[in-house]
Amino acid sequence: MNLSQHLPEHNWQHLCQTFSNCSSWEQSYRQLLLLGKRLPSMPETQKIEANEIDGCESRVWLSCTNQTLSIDSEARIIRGLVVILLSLLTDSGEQPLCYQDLRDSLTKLGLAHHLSSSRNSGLAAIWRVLERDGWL
Amino acid sequence: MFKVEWPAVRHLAFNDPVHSFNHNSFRQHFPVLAHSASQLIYLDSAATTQLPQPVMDAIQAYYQLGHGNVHRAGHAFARHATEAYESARTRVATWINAEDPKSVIWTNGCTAGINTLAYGLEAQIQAGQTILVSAMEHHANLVPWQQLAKRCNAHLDVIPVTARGDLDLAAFENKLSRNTAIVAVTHVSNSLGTINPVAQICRQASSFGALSIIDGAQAIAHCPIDVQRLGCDAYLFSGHKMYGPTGIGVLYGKPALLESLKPSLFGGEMVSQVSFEESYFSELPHRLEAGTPNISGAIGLAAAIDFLEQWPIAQRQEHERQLLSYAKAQLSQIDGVKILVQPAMSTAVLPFDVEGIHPQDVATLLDQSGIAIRCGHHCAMPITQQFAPKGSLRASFALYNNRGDIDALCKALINLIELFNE
Repeated sequence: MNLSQHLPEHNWQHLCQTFSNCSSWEQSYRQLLLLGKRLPSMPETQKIEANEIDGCESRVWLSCTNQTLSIDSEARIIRGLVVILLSLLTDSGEQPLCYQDLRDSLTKLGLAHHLSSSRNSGLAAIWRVLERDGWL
Repeated sequence: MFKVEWPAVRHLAFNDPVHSFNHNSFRQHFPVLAHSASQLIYLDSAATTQLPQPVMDAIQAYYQLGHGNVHRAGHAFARHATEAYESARTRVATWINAEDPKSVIWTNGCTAGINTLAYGLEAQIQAGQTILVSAMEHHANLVPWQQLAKRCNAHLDVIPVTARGDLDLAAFENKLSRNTAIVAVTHVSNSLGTINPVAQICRQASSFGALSIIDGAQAIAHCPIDVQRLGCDAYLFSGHKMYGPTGIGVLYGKPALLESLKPSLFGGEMVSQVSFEESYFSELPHRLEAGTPNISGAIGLAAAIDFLEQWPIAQRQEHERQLLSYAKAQLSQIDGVKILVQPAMSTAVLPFDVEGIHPQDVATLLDQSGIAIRCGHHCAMPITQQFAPKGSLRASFALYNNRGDIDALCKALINLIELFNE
């Protein structure tokens, strides 16, 4: 499994440190938006219907080329959450990751509300596809 | 706490007559808003309105005084339930100036009512006929007609909307013909705020022998409704958009229309006689009200009418007109904010977007700021596609909103734009 978009300086421990230093929602979201800015964009040629995840409030794409995973979204906050998700996946290594792990990890960062039961939650939809396609 | 200095926004000088709507006397009845500690700014009333305490009290009192099933049994609880339920029906009929309480059919909401109509009219729609809807319809007043057209091999035609957000009335007149079976149009658009000239539309539809069906879900809380003056064949709305509870709505129909509808839900309440071989159905309105109804919902809706009517409609409309005007003026001054439509007449709803920021990001950051607005396609995918392919932001207002709410929205928008562009 190759998470080509994983940004090495944003490993999970570093993210925990960064978010724990945030004392307001503005500071947390500033960090999240910065992460979202830095996630490499998926090439437009890969933003095809087959790669699009249904049912999200913003468009989300997930593609796999040569066993390399790539995720992108129109919404920057979702892109920031994708960086966090990819960091978690890398950090877990060979250990399978379950939904509760994701929830616990996001809670640590103060971002668990992004896994709401609303059908429009982009992050939950991404998780479902990762599960379905065996990335976890 | 991290604070942003709100730049001095020029407040437009406009005539501000003595405000006769006593806003505080209205807002104080909403417990979720009245507590200053909550600091919740609710700008999503087009999705659903908050309930005032008197409506909640009426619903609770109904259950507390002994509730029973309606129209059955002679005991005291059943009588109490039936009286309350039928009084609520009469209350609605008076409020919308229906001919008769029997013209008021209780439903589970506007969507359920429109489906009742679509199924009920099926036998009357011939292959090749046209059903006209507008491009700005909520899915509830689009999909049932679309599916009816498919079932009957009829043709669904769409009245276009101009770039300003108005119905193209010239196009409507061109499309209307003696082959038009139904004209289904919203009174007020939930995504654009446009008020459509429904009296004129109903008159024109009638002159071609077409049924006129008006979706009043968004209008009911903002416009005085007189169904006889409008001349519509049917008018529908939901309780939860007019300070009432969810799960209850009204289908008003002209007697001739309602008589002609085939029931689509069968069972208790709507039958007068049942054997294994055959069933005979009740008279109106009960023929179209199968099963145990939402009794407390009906009582809650009537209580919402009584609550609203304490403030004269002219005052309520003036408050909302001024609020919308203020919102447009203030939002227009923020760099990067664009109001999406400028219809000739509108109420209660303001669609906008923020340049360079996806609506979902804006809505998330507003939510963090304690402000509730809606982003997305607002259950109106076709019209949202026309004005905002990525989805739009919608601020929608009710009588409990005030200028302070709009100021808070503007401040939060300026703040988040700055945060986003760092």
